[in-house]
Amino acid sequence: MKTKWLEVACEVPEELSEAASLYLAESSGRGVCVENRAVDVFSESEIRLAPLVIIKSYFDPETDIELKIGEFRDFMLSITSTLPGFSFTHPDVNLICDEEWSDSWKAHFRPMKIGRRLMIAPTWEEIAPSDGQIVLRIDPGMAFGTGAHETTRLCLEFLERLMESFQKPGKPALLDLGTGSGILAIAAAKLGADHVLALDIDQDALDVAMENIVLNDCCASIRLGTTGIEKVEDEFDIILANILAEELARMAAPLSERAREGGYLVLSGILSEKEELVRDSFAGLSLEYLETLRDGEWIALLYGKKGVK
Amino acid sequence: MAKKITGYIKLQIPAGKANPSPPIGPALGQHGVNIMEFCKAFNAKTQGDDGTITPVVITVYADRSFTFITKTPPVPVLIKKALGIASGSAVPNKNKVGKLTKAQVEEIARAKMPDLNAASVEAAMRTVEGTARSMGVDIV
Repeated sequence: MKTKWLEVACEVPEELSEAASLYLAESSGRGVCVENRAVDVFSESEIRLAPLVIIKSYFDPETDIELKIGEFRDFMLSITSTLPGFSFTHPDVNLICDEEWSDSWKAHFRPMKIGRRLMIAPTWEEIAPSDGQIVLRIDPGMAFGTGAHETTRLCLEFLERLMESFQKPGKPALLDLGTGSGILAIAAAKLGADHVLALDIDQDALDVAMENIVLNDCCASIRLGTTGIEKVEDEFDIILANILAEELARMAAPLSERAREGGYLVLSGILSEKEELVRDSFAGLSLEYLETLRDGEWIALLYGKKGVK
Repeated sequence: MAKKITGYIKLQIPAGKANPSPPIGPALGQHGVNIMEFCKAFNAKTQGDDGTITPVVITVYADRSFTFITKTPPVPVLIKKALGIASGSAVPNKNKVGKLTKAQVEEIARAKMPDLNAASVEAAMRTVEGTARSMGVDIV
């Protein structure tokens, strides 16, 4: 039989949410959800506080819930005696069942085919790759780059094409700037690059990347680091930078300098409306614009490094 | 990576005891993020403070990856911990449950400073003192 809970949703003014949350967390003994919002922003600073917060707490179905609500009402009235206009609203109470939350999230992550040969699959999925197919095992977690986002897919499409058409002697050297989960670096290694430098300023992301690199047996080909692009000394045949338009614009000169003559630069993480900003920033450097790939509201740009004149 | 934020979740949960049942399961499940990975990382980060109610803010990105930051426990939790008491007074004006020294107030204020909208330690101390009085705790 599925476990059940009484979900009590209380609407309280934002300025009282900490006190109310703590009261309900201690009253239920389970903790509370103070806020849960769908947003569409690039920075937490863009998220505005709501004047009213819905706090959800959870109780055993046998609990005398009206008694608990009465005690909560008394608590709220005791701390709001100086808050003009406050009136206690009776919370919504719903019976909810266990939805096997420990596994149900996995439904959002299915194997994904990208480009001609690449497949991204979580470790719990059994797959039978077809001839020539290259499988990357990536479990979603605490670093961007699960393969489920347009910016990652656009990079992978360019990467596969560049690796297949690479004609210089030896294997290409590749820089993955802002590696996140390491997905692009791992794809590069699996496609044949043997000197891959994967950089990220977030140490937590690098820890996740290292786990993924080990999982995909690519340790010999990939180095990880937190160095900024300005301090990288090597030159690369292919540079992948899936960051954000403003950051790409800021790093245009060092990115161009680190590309080897005849090499390529893939820029991703760019909203369509920011294409001009990025292209303006990379104009005038020793780079030739080659192509734009589009997926939804996102684009990726491909540049070639010109020879020295 | 090009991280677009699609979900913003605030929880207050017992340190070191995260599991997929409510409130974590329904809150994170709604955004399709790896719940077990969150529980593992949160418990690892908060071990040693077992059971202390800890605020945590989880940011979900467009590809369902996520990050989280834990905040310092709420001021009443820190006061109860400092005094070793289970709860504040139901009648704070009449029934007193303990006494905090100025040094203890300052210690709590300094611990809480990063999460308070206080301009100075003195301002944060005034907030702590106000909370203490509302719990039936005197300042000595």
